[in-house]
Amino acid sequence: MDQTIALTLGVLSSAAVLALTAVGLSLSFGLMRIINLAHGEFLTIGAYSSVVTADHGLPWGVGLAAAAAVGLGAGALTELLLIRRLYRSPELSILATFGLSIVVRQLIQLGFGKDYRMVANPLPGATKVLGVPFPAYQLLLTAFAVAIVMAVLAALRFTSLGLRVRAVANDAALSETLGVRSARVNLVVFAASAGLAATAGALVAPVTNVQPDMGLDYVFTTFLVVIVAGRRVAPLLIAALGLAAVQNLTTFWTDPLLARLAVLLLAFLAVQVRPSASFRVAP
Amino acid sequence: MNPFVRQVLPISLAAATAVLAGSWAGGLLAQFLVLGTVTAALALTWGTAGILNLGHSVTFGVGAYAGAWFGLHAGAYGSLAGLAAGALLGGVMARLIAAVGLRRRLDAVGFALATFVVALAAEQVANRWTPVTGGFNGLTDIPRFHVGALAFTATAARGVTAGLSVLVILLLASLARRPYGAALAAIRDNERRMAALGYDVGAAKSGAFTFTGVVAGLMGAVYVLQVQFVSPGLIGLAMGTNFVVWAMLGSRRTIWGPVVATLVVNAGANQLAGAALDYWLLVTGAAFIAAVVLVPDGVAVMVRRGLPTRWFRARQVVLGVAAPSTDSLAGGGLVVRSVGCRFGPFTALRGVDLDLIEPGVHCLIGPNGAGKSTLLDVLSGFTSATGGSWQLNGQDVTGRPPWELTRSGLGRKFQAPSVAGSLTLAENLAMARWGRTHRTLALIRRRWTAELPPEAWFVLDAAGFADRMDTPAASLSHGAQQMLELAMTLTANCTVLLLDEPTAGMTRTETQQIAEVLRGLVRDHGLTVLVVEHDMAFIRSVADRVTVLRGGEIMASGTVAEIESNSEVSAVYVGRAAGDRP
Amino acid sequence: MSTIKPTHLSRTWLAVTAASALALTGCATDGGKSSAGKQHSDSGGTLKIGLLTSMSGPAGLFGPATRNVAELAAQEINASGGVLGRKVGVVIGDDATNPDTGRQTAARLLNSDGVSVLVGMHTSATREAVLPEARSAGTLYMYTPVFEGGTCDSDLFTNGEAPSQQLKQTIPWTQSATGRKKWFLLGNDYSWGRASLAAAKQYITASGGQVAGTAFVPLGTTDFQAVIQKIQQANPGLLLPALVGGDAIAFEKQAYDAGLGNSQAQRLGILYEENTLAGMGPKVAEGMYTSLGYFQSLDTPANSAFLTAYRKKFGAKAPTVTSLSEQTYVAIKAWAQAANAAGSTKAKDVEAKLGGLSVDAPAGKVTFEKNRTATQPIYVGQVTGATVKIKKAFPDVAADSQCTG
Repeated sequence: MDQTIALTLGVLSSAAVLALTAVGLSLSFGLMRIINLAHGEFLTIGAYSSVVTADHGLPWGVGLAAAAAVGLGAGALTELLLIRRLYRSPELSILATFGLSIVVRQLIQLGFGKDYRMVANPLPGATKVLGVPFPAYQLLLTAFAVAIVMAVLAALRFTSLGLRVRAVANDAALSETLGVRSARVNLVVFAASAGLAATAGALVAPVTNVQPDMGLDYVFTTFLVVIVAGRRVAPLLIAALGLAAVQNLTTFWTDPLLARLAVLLLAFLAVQVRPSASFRVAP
Repeated sequence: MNPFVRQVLPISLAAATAVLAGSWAGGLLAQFLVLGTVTAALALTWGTAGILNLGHSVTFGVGAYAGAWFGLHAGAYGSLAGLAAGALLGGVMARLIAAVGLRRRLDAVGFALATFVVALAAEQVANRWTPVTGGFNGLTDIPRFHVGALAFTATAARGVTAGLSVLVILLLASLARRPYGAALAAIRDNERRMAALGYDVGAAKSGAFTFTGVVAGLMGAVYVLQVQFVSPGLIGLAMGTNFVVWAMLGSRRTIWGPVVATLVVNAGANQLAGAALDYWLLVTGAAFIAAVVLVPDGVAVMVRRGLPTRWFRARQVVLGVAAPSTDSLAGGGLVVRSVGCRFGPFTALRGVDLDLIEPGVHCLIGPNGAGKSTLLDVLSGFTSATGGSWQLNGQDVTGRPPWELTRSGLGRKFQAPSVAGSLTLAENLAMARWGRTHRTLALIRRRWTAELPPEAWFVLDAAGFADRMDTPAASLSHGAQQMLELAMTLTANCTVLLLDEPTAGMTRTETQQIAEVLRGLVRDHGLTVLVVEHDMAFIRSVADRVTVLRGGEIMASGTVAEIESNSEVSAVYVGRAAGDRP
Repeated sequence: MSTIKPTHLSRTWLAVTAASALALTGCATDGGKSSAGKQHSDSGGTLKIGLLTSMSGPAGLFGPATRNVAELAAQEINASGGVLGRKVGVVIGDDATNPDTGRQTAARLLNSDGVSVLVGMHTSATREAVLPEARSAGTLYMYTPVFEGGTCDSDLFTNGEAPSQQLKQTIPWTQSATGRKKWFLLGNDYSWGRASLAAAKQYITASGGQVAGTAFVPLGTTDFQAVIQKIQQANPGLLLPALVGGDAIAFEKQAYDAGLGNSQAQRLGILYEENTLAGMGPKVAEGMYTSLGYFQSLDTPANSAFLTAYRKKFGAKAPTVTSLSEQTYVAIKAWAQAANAAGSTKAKDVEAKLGGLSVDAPAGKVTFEKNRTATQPIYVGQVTGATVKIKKAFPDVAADSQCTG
């Protein structure tokens, strides 16, 4: 019984990290069709923002806010200078963001060095959940993940900005004729995507290694989540849960390598089995 | 300069340099040349056929591992066995990826993501399957090229790898400029239309994908012969991304651009890494960004734009006259029985019967949303019917794919003209004709010639295109493009022609011209034509019969006079039946 | 549709291809001359030491300190008269943590720069890729980091710690120091991780211990939840992590939070060097054992002289010296001694003198054996308040080797 609870909690918190790191990507990729290979580097930017605030003795919450702000700013700047030129051909975004990811990694390395950086965990140690000890910080991450994904969904569904975002995502040209400034909407979406990535970076920083290349460890798994979820934000939590369940349970009962392959198989099946919901060409 | 010399010379020069430049620089050049060949193969699938493949490294890597394994274990003929196995396994791998990806009609991004996952998985497998792949450390000390007891010096072996690269590059370039390449590009630009012209687009795409898999696999084995070493990095996503980036830098719609880009980027990075150890990656990344901003179409296309156009000779297309079709003698026309079509809860068509047996013009009218276009889509194979059957010239063709229907004599013209604007009229027509007459091998083998059936020439003459065959189709007016597209549809020797609003957006004169052409096609060429139309004046001038569709069901059918006097129809068409469209 | 007709592009490319081909030829002739001129002439010019290391990619963290110590070694060699009466200089190549890049870079160092010795501090995959290049260039290749052992090649010298050195004595010592015998083995899934844990299993069984479980995780793993639960289920008292850098940090942070910290399962790390431990933070790392051939905190005259010189040359904030970089320093110093003794830089001559040579390294006495490994001291350190305290020193630990020498 205890083991079931522990495994369930483990799946939940693994899913939370997946959803957190992928929600920004599901905006830029799902809504804007930009294949952002630099998504991981926005994560890194967020993690380093929290490193800087921690080094100045500021509390953890400030680091989170700083990461979000820096991410938004960096995202907006990137959109204005680079991404804006790529909407006519999303394939170009591969080359551009591939270059961008290299540049960002190298700049961080020049600015901060290559050493591992340390962000103290604000909630160290385990706490009891239903009688089972579980990392307190992972619970916090899970709460953040649910809150952030819900907030993004709510913003898309219930605000006028969200309506405009969905309109542009469906048909940019048509929404222009209806008075929606698609350039502005794209700017907001990409900045939000980078801001969410940076926030996620600051959130995972206490439980992972912080160094200039850390984004690379995350970018592929986030793409897997988005591949499974399709081009919409709503299925993101389910996709993250599915992947986390497959990964954790296969790891637990067999071994981590089979788990990695099982996760890839799941992603591949997801593209295959229900392409209509995500990527299929309209007939 | 002789075109042959012009094509062969530069790349042979690079290969010769690779052989002569000594073991280090020559070895590097040969290695980059092999990579350039693999990038060129990607350019054929991606740039020409429009299939973005992030897992090109998978077929390349499978070939590399096969080459390494046979080189180490197969003894005297290990090199040859490795090359054969590399090509074979690369092809098998590509075929598998295409079978699960392309056949399911994933769009470009969906397919790219499927290949993304495959590349990630391939690297895991290569890392894990140590007995065969050598695991993380890979396989090393793979013997260089040898045949039996015949030992090759390092220079001679380099000549083999560089020479094979040159041959494959020339093959790829040649394919791209033959009708085969042009047809792939046309499929990339408009899949529906090419299907309507008789091309099996699914097979064409997976065929091209498999072929480039064979090339990548072969070159993987060649790569191993050159570098004598293989590790999981070659098969993974990082390598796959590299190929994509190099192809994009060089212009993915060319073959030579990606080859040169691969050479320059690799040689550049190698030199730069030595000259600026701490900044070479930064510079490389910045260069990629600059390339996207400054030369989004790739360097090759930019270079070409800067050169005088007289350097580029136009393609000579020879069009002849084909013997009249004998299909119409088989006769029988199109017989439709209780066809239905549902989209979820919505019923678009229910129990539709049609008889288009005699030559003549049959008009299909009805209010918007009546199911007219859906009926044409179902009959021409673009939308699946959920019930009923239809026969073409006495043969049951229910549920056949579009290209098979076209080859059986059913022509389909879409509402919006979709001719290839950058191709000339003659090129468009030749491309259209090949849909009916050529299979893949013919597209690869044949020259730019096509013989058009008399009914196509009839339309071309009526439109007065005879002296404009070598102008780009984009220069035609909207009405003239409709005429060209009609002629292209007719190149398929069709006996039954389905037209969707042929007069939409046309001037009064052009409309009259279309009417005359349709009458002529019926009178002189015995065609059976089904036209979806709104324009009553046009209908009066051409229609032998009119069928009214409403809510997916046939409401009435008869001569123009019968329909116009039908009070039920008039009720539906208040304001429309009374007057002509202005 | 915008079809570009490739036929017509070839003239354009004639110039470009020819230019790039010529550019490479230029490099070639240049490289060929310099290689011939510098490697084999006996008079004048600087002797080049080629250092192939990872300045970028996942292992890039260890590059800067390695480069620094190589430059420090060259400076010291020059101060004491150089090699064969000539000054030495270091040429650095970046393998980008990628064996294919490593092979290309090594080829450049060997052929274009004409280095007299190739010193490598990179992954074992790069080593396998580079070895044939070094062999065909006839240049001595010294591979310096902690590695999986078991290699034997006449052109390769290894002086990094092999699992047999790090574990043979430390495993029984750890069992008696803690009074625990139940181990869990956790490794990154590649040659080093697998070889290390295979060796560990053997020594544990031999010393009466018990292996409660083994797990391998792919390089670059960020989420260890399920692995931690798996370990908790096995409930070991001792944990041997053969994890690299970032993976080690992520694992230890998450394990600490999950109640699988060092106080629950005593760690014996085999690549827990100062950078990695700093990345975990003092609270997480407190109390861990780590087994390596060198720690900064070693209190020996040779080490304090080394560190003083290092900080004087590169500043107090210079990248941390760890076992990985210290071994590179030792290899270069040993090569200079051997070359001077041989009166030549030819691989065969230097090899003959290197076998049996002892150097007074910062870590202590290191002997380059004829079997192409290095007999060296192994230390078990314990993390105590953000520094590594030496708990136990095993002098002159020999590595198992396939070579008989």
